[in-house]
Amino acid sequence: MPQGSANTSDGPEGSPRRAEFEALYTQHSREVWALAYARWMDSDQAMDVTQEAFMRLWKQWEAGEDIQNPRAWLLRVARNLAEDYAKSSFRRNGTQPPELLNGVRSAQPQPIEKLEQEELFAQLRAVLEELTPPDREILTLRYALDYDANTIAERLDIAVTAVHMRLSRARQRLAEKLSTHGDFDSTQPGTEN
Amino acid sequence: MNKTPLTEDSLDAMFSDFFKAKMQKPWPAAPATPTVRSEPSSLAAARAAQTPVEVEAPRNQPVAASHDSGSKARYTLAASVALLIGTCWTLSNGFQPGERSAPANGSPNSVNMNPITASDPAVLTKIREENATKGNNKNDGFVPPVIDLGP
Repeated sequence: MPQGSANTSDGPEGSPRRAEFEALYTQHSREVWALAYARWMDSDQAMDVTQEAFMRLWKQWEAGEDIQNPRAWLLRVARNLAEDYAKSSFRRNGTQPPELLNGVRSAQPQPIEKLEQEELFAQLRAVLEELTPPDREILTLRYALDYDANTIAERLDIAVTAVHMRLSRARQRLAEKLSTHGDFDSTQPGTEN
Repeated sequence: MNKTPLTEDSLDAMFSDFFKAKMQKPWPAAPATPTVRSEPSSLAAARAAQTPVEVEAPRNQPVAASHDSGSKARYTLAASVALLIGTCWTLSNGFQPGERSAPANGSPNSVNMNPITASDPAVLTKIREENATKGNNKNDGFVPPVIDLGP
């Protein structure tokens, strides 16, 4: 996963453009990551997509291109990169994602709490994979970035009621899944406030 | 068996824990950018040309040919071509008639053909006068036949 630092190649003083680049990264990188993560549920791959999208933005600047709306540009590039990832040979023939490798037990004993959390996360992941990518995108923005329904509706250019409905549906599916597993008592959670 | 009640808040907490656990902590810095263009490319190129970067060759590889050897080869080629062209020009039409050397066997007509005086009328007149007084040895040993034309 490519990770860089602020002053890797710019010298100690940096440049105004680099500063602008880092400001954009601070402002939008998590949202770009959320979009990519919602597509494939792979956090490392989502980070790769995020870094690649920002690198392409920098190259566009280097080429003299004027990008009017960097956020929209970044999200579009990240969406295309995430889709291209599905076509890549690594996706089809590569190793298993880290989440599946979590089932490999270590020789060392693990705390009970951690095992319970891993099991719960596996069930959550199974529920999330049943949802459509747009629904997962809403959930990621809501719970990873703590956006409220109005902000999500504004960012995704959809109605606020649609955001509430999708969040409610996701919660209900999760409750059903967990209750059938036997560890939880489903109380039919209500809709989003 | 006790079951954990699923409330809306607990589901929210589960989702929140799940998604936040997937986000890297600390959040990675912005990717390193290869170059910074804070000036026009022409100025950057000119500045780079003024401060050449010395790159040392790897220790286990022969030192690459220097720039001088390439220019030396070009100069050698240019000199060879110039020499060839000059030779051809000299052999074809470079000689002037006055510069041609006299034949080695020395024919009688070529005795007085000094390149400097060959075209001088005074010298030619003098040569003719000498030939008239001394006789022209050019016809020595040759008696022209007498032709009797009769009465």
